[in-house]
Amino acid sequence: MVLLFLWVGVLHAQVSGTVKDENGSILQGVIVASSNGKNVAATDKDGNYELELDDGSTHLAFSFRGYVSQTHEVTDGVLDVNMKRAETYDLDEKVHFGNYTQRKTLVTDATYSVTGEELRRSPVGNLSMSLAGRIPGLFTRETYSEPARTNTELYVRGSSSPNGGTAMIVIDGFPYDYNANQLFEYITANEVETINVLKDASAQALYGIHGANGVIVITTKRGVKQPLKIDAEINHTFEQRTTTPPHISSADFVRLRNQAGYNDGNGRYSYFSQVAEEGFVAGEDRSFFPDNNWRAMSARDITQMSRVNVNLTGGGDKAVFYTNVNVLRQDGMWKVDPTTTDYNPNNNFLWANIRSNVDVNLNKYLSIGVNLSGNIKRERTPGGNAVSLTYGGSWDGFAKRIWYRFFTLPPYNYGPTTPLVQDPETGDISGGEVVVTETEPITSWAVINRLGYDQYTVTNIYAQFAPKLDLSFVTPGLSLSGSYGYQTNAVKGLFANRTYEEWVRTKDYSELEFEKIRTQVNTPLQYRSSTSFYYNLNYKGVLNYHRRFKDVHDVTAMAYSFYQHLNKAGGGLPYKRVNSGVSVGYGFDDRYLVKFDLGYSGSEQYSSENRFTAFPAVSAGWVASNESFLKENPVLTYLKLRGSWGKAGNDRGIGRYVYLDNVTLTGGGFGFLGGHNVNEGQVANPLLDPEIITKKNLGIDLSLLNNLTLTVDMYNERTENGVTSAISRTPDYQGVPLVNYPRTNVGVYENKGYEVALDFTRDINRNLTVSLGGWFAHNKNQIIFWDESERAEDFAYRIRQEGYPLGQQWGYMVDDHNGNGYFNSQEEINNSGLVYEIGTPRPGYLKYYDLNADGKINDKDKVPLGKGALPNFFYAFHGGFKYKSFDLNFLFQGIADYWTIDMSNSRVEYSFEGMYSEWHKTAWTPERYANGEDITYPALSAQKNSNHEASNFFLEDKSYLRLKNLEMGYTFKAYNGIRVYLSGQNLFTWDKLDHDIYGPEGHYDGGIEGIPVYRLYNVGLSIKF
Amino acid sequence: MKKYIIFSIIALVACFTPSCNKLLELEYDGRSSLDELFKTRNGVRGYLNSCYDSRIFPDINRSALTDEAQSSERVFQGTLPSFWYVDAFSAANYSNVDGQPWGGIYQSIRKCNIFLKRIEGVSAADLASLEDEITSWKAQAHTLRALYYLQLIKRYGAVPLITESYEIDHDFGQDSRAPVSAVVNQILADCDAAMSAPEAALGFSWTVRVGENFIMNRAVVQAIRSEAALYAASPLFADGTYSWNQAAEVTGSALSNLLTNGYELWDEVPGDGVAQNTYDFYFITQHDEQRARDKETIYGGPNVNIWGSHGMPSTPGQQSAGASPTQELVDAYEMQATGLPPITGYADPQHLQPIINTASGYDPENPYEGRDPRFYATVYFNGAKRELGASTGLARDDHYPLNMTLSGNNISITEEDGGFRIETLGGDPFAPTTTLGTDINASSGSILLKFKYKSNRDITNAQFFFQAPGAAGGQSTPENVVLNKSDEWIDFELDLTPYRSESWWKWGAADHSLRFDVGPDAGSIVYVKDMEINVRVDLTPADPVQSYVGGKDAISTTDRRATHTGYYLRKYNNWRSGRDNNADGEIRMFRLAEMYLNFAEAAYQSTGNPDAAINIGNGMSMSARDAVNAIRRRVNMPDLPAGLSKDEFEKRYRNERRVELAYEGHRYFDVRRWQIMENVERYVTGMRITKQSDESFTYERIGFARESYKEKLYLYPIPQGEINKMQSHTGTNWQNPGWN
Repeated sequence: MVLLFLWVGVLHAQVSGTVKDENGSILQGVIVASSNGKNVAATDKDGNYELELDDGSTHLAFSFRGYVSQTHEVTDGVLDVNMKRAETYDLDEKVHFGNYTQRKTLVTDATYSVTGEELRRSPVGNLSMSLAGRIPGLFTRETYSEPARTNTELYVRGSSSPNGGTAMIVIDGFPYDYNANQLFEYITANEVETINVLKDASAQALYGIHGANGVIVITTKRGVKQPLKIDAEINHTFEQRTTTPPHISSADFVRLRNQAGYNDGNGRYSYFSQVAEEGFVAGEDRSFFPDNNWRAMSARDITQMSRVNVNLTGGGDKAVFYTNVNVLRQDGMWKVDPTTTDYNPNNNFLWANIRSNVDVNLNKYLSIGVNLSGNIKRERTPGGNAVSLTYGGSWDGFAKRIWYRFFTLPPYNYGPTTPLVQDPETGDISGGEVVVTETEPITSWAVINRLGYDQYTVTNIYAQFAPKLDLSFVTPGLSLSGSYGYQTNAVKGLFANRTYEEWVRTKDYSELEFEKIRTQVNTPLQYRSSTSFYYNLNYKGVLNYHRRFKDVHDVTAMAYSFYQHLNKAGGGLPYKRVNSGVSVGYGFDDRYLVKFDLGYSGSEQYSSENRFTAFPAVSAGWVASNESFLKENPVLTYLKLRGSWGKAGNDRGIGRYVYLDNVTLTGGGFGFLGGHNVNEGQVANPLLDPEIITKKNLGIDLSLLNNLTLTVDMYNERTENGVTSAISRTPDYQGVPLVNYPRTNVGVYENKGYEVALDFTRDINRNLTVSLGGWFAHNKNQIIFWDESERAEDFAYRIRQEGYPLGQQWGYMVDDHNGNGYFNSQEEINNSGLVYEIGTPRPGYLKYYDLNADGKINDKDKVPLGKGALPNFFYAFHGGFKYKSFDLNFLFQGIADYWTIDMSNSRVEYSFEGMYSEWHKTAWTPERYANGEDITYPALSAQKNSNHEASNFFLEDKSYLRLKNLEMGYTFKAYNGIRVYLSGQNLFTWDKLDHDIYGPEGHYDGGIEGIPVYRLYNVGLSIKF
Repeated sequence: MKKYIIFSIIALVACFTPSCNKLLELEYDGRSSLDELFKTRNGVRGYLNSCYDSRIFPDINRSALTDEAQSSERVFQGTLPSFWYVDAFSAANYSNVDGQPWGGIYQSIRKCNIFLKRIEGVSAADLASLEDEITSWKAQAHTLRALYYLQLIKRYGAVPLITESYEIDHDFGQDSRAPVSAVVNQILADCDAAMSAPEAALGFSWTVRVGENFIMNRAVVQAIRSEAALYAASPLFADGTYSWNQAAEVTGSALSNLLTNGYELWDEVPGDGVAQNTYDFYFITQHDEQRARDKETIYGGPNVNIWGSHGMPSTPGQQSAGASPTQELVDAYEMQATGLPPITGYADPQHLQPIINTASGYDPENPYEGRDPRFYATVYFNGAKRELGASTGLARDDHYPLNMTLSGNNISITEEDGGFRIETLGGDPFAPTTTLGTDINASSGSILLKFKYKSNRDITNAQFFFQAPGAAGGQSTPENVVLNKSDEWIDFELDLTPYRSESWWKWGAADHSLRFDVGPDAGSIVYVKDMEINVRVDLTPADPVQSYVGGKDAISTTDRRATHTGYYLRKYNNWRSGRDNNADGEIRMFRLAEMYLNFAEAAYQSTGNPDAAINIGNGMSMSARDAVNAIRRRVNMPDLPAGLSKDEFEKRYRNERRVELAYEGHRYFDVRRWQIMENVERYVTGMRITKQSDESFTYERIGFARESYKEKLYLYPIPQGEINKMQSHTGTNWQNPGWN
């Protein structure tokens, strides 16, 4: 102990000073840190700081986002600093890898960081929505668009394994891949310091078996030594659909339905009598011949969201803290009929997030970090649970199940309720019952107004306790930290549901009569509830070492081990994982950099022989601009070449404990034989290994004239031991269900691409700063080997997976040699000599290519359509300027080279009792053809037929470019700054669809049935105290 | 010190690695292994139980794929008929009423194979079981395997024949499809193996023990033998291995074995108002597992829902007209008086011009008179009487289930034990039920409140109130209702009929519920379940069926709920069935009548002389004509005349089989194995009936053309995925004809 005190006594300094910018303006919030990293302070509103150094540091680093970092030798006493705005890479920027941080100039991996400050510009409810277009190589796809409950899939560099999927999220050092997307609901941009995306193996190897799908490292803000600082922000957002499907009138509907019936040979007025059709077309008496726009009746055109955010940070030598409170309120999307409910079923959400990060120095060596964040989400939706209770099946979403029923319920249906009738004698009023159709018992209006509501309360608690021991007494630069953390998430569902009587209008349109069908009755609300719960327990130990010797030898080393115990919602044994790893880096004179990583992780999915896998990676960098021949070069101000090779792993996409047979003795089966039954599940493959993906990356970072930066990365990822299922080769008749048949490690898969990012920033003068930038990324994956059975010789394409990207779609090619691709007469069908094995064609049906020339149209004639499940090309460009107190920023984001086949219910006309859209209005008829009119759809039918097969007719180009985000602000010089701003999200979209019925993104349920992507307009006010 | 710290850090960071592996080991989760299971009695029985999973029962919807029926479901997207009639099928998207059972059946065959292999060498003593039980289990597995292969060949023809389960490294390149005759060899061998098990009390018996409904037994073995031999000798499958002689011998011995072991045709005469005739009665009655009453059923099947899924739109709650009988089926029923067919054929391919047999006594103006009694049991035609029995004293019980809501006054209600647990907490405890609903028709008959209860004490002052939701008070039924203390469920019944005329009677007003006042004290715990209001509705005889144009159950071409042929299905339908009361009957997998017919077919085919008696074992001899007449006598149809030629007899036999086994899933397979499918399934017809101003009817035959008559439909396609795989393993194409 005596030794320690002696040791520490050597360097001890008290420093204070003022930080200003090059124009002499005071800078608040500049981080002043000792070079060994232990002592940290921030400048106050007067630009002053004060710091006591006790960790033996020789230098002080000054860093401020947007400014060039500076390092100064420690001198006791006053140290004033002037900082310059950054117009190029900040080489001292800290890059977070989850287990350690690294100065940007020393980084040899492919990573990309974005700050919370940038993400905050998107006025969105869910943090994941703000990532679109911000990060080269991160593909975002909005898969569900209900305001504030949006789901966004995140893929890092596309897909590195068919069994992989979306990226893993690391929050303050702990990895999560269960419900990872949902975790974004529990963090707001205000709490985020940075989000760093780890793209290559040298960055991912430490995460071992879980790293291969890419890692998104979220680092939350922490306090630094400074007086109390308060930032408050209020936002109010108006939300509007980017697209709204046009209403199909009942006149059109009835006409088209009868046209379909006529084409089917059921006569001219098969679904609606002549009187009815004429009545609907004339539209004079809407009580007999209604035209209901169900969407306009029940969906609001504008919804609103408001958010309040308060940030508190500050601290002294003993303790620092950061606290954030964020409250979000999302209003309902529906118009509720107040006459029919005495409760409010409208969907609305109230989310409250509280985060508190506290760091306490217990003594010179021991400090403790405590992160505590709690989230309460209260969400309400109309009658969801009642739908599944009453009608069976699953209720798998809030708003989407209401939205699609706007279009499945035909516009000619009377409603939403039967008319009220007063009995002349008793005075009793009857009626007001829900009008349904014979086949569809649920209407959107009834879900909103007559089924009650569900309310979910989600409490998410995330707590982390992290003691850190400064081991500089062992050797300078060494520290040991441990972390213990847990996340618990509990959902309490409260279902207040009721049912309603179902009435249908009788078929006689000359009278307004209704009859009750089925057995439902009107009930008052009944309460039920549900509980669902999951938790994560995490343990981690990290040993960190960083020291710079003689100012040229920069040595970093890190070793860690991690254990996670995850109990998923809904039962089952807990999931356990063990990860550990070592990373050693060496830099010589900031010129030659090399790093070695070794991840070593275990997964309970594999037998004890295969349970642990090592994932090595090496990377190297050369900062050429630090060589003497380039130093001080006025044009090429920075140049770094990087390269990495390494492995990452994936254990997803397989069942549990695949190395064990799963045979259990249960009850059930038949009553005889003692009431015992045997379930045979998975058949073991004890030899199965995790997928190992070898990744290579080459990169270059350069900067010209200190204004222009360019980063280029090229990569190649290859899996040689992809886990394939037995489905492709093993026949069913062997008797083991193929889902249970042992999987094998024989697949070969490749994923490659490149990313180019260019940025320009320039301070034109002291009043005007301009920035402009953009990036594009190309990504392409391919299945090389999948143990696929080759089809018979008469298939046009005998192989349908190998050689194609993941998710390759297949279908028929329309033969449009005759000019329009339809059979235009029975004669033309006869002359074609084609036998359709997918339903006999009629005039007006699509004519397909008989590619294998066997005279038959069947599965063998299918061709690849589109280019796989993920877009091949993503890009974005952004920019902005700041003029005096006014600032403006914009972001455009797009994808290209992407097609999907849309055969959703609304696209094909036979669904439900017929679903018609614009393109069906000009379907093929002999008259239209004879008159040479435009034809947009095959001859209508009420039946599924040969037109309703996947073909290039239904292939849609889903490329788009979006003005994703725009923000304008003005800052007043009151307090420490009052800023008012306007911002918008998804303001304009350019796409290649040949219709405006739905947009290119956000309807992955299909067509108009998915909720459209929303456009947001936001007004905000922020005040700094 | 320093060393110590470094050492401990290294130890910490280098993880708990040695223990890591253990940390990731699976904790015991109840997994077992086949080795373990076959050491225990329960494991063995459990495994055998799992062998039963893939039996395919007959399905009424299969009739709509033949000339028996045309389905109204065709108007509805995604239904099987909507695909089937337009032939929108390839091997890649095929599905039948049983889906694509290929994989499922083979899964169960594998289980039978594993069972039969593993049970060898297991001693009765090790399992604490009797030797007879073990041989019975083996016999069941043999029977199941035989049944599965029979169900496979009927659908797919030649199939891979696997009698030992494959190892994981099996070379599929060696496999091939075994001809039907080879599969039938195996079926018969399995049947012989099953029959070799002794017929002891706990062994493999002719009778079914209590609680063992649907177990495999000796009678099922006979049925499997009979069908397998018949199919093997039929034109579609015959390859010279199985002659009609052999088929006659097997079907004959199966029949005589059944007859000597207590099987006989159902001949119970229904009481008044129950059913129209013996045949009708049989199909609305469920088989009883002990065969105390039903001695005809060999292997039963599912209860069906005719009134709802194949019913008439005038029945409240009906969803679909389903598989409506065709005119061709109607034409097949002979005249009862003469025993002659009314229609001998059609002059045109579309079946619109019937060739009327005037000698039969058939009157085209009154087409539904004087027909085979089975016609009336099978078809609802225009003018058919729906409700049977006397014109007065008819009643139907309507059941209206009630639940408790989970909130009340001074009371705690939880769902428990299949019902509700009600605990009183203090003064004036009461609990409302869910609303009664406007459905309750209180205008006629008696009204009972019924439930089962248990109580922890005697309660002498319970009450029931009618009330609007949230309203206090309401009006009470008799006060001081008594609930006795009991640990067992007691049936409670309260007659509410006297209160029907009270002014506070609000049933039929929306939202009213019944309030249950348990008594004034705290501490009563009452369990209530199966609460319902039972309304006995007096029935007045309904109108006869109106399937004429404009009638209540009128014919349509686009409505799913209306018949498309002019007829509705009656077989299996109990006229009492309706919403909340499905009294419809059962569709059997095997019954004795089929065994007579199987034998008759094999016999006339083998001898060429329908009158020639042949020895069928067990001291019996029988001719083909005798066998058919046994069936006809039950329904009071005249005997087929002696002296028919083979061809004449064949025509009468096929008609008899069609009529007797209508809607039992046989016609589909019969027209295929006789190779007449292309002739009979291309066009089917219905009868469009128009009511004239003088209340008479005119009859017009209407046609439905189908694309689903093509050769490929003789057999199911083997799933396309399987074909692709076997192409690459064996280099040969396994597909059935026409599916490529």
